[in-house]
Amino acid sequence: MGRATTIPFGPQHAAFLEPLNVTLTLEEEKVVGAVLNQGYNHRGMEHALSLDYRKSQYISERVCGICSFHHSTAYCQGLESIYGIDVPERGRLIRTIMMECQRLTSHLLALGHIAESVGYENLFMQCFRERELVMTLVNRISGNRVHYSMNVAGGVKRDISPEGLKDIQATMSRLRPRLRELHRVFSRDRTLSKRTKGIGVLSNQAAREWGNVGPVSRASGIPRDIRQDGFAAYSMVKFSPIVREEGDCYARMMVRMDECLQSMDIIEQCLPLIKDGPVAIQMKGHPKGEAYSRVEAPRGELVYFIRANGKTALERIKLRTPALMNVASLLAMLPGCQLADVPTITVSVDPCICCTDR
Amino acid sequence: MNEAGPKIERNACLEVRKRTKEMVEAGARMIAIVALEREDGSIELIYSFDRQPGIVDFRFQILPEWEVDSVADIFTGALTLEREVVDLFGLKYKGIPPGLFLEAGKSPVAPLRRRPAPAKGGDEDG
Repeated sequence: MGRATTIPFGPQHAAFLEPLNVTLTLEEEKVVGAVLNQGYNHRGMEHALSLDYRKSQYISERVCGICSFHHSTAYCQGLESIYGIDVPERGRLIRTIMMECQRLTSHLLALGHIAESVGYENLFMQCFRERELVMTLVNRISGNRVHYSMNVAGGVKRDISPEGLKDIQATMSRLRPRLRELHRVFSRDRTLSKRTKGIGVLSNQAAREWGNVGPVSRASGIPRDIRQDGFAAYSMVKFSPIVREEGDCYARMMVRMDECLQSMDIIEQCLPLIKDGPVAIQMKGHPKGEAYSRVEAPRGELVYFIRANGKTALERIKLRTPALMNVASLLAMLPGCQLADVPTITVSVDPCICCTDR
Repeated sequence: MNEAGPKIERNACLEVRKRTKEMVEAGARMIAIVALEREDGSIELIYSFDRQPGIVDFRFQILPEWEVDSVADIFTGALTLEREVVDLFGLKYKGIPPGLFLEAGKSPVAPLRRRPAPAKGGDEDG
């Protein structure tokens, strides 16, 4: 057994898109201990969001650039719950379509990132090429690539025209064979399998203890998907959570890949359900009361708690982001792995540090 | 919403372990610890759980100088949630160190607590 060595992994590291530090204790190439240091991106978003509820629907999108629409949906749903109003069906369907488009962009980013972490540069570029189809689609629909700015408390402020609906259908038709090809590569490539199968295993028990959510928990056999609760228009479409049992990097990767195909199914189910009608209703007065709001963001369950006391400033707004729970569970995945696998394991939880630190 | 909030009770700091254990044994998953400062300066703590089909919580109110029992040995994921409350509200949890987001000596202390009102005629920004 070699002498224990401690090395910093991050906060600036080629494997990370955002700053996160993992202090690793190694015996030769084997990781025997890990300590997480985070907070490099802490921006005090909960304070900013509480200052004026009318502006917070825009600020909430700025918590994260990858699941921005999910943040604003969770925020708007919370306010709608306090006001006790139901968003019109057309507005809920548009929200659902946009959320699934964003899940596609997020998962394709995560998949590309995993491919890059094992040195598979051309697969990384292929993921980003297909992702660009969805990015340009949401740009045509909303006018924006990242912060769609479509949500308002009460519905959405931008309708989708009949041409826009045809555009979505055409894009899905173009995307489907491309994603099937990506699925074939991710599931069958031997190099990718060797670098991900049996690596960074998170057992079902550990996932329950750490409170993991989203694709990370579903890859460890926990069949929980908040979309099943039926928020937005999810009660109007048919789908089942994608669950795997292995709990390793491969399972986390394949859950996301399967969920990309599922997102397209959900979008295509929503399109014929859209009927003429309003997309939003107006709310009057300042909110008073409290509410929990949850959505299934690409990384898992995103929780907002809002307490309002009838003034423009909110008494409290609390965000529990999925990445906060998933990043912490790296401490259960890293010990025992090889140093060369640390980038793949950390990337396989899709660590969004903007969400984690807020 | 309970405007009066729960009563300020010292026992609550210890009771939290019992209540959390009951929830976890019933199959619930802790999803958040919400802390908020009330008008009288006391802190309301809300422990929220996912117990299908919805969210259930228990809540209690404490004085900011009291030490709360950690539940991280009952539900491992609570460690991060407790550390967040320690940093942002300056509460003390038994055996839980600060420093999840903030850096001792460099970052603002308990940034989500209300600042004391400035003296009359004084300049808030100094």
